[in-house]
Amino acid sequence: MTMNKHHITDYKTYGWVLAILLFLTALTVYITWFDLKALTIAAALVIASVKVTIVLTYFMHLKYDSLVLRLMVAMVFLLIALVFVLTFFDYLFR
Amino acid sequence: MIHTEHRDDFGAKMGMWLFIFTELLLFGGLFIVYAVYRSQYPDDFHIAASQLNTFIGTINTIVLLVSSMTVAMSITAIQKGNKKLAMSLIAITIIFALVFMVNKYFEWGAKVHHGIYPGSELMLTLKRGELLFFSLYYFMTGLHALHIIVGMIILIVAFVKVKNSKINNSDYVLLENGGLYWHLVDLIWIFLFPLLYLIS
Repeated sequence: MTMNKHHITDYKTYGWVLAILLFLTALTVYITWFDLKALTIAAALVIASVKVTIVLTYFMHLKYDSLVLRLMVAMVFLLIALVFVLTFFDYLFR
Repeated sequence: MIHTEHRDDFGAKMGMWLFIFTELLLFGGLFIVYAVYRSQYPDDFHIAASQLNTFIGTINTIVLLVSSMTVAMSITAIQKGNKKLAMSLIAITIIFALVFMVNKYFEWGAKVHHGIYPGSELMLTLKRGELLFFSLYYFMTGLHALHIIVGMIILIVAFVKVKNSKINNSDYVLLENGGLYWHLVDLIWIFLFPLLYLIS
């Protein structure tokens, strides 16, 4: 891919992406009607993560951006996850 | 046409992403605070969260998702040189942002009406975990709403620049970056919505 030739996403793709995101939103609302305690939280977080990945990939155009940008974004999310894990190691096992 | 001025679209985009990283870390920190207190006061969080209006929360989620699509489509429109369509799509996005804020006004208004707002008499009588939940609710949705307002201003600037052809099919990195900011607002809401409104 050259630097000055940009990938143009067509309208139809965005329409499908929105349809999938709306379906996942409906799914989250639906599963929280059942009180499955920890499982509900886990399911809601997994669906939210899938939605965020879709937004990053298509709406935020990372799929067609350079590898440097993609790696940088991945690192930031990894950093946040790492801080989460370390914080909970402290709170749960002190 | 010969361009003599120096332009670095990739650099502009990377700069925008670096800024987005700081925003992600800011909200990431708040999510950690939420997670820790939730694990310490699970029952209080449960009771407090069930008092939030899930319906308005769901409507606002849909509003943000649709507006994310319209702003993404406006970039496609400008790339294809369709100025009119790009302007309409940006305008629609701004209207969706307004709808979000109006919903937020009614949502917060109802809470304040019931005496639940930071520093109120009722808040101080609540249990510690419930107090923490509502404080985090106001702070996180408040900070998010502030980003919606900033996003609206950026989109209005983009709209005017498209109108004046300052943003055109060979120079549209400003619209792309504005779009990235708007998607960031959407990203944060995708996590806020289930954590505040749904898990109760």
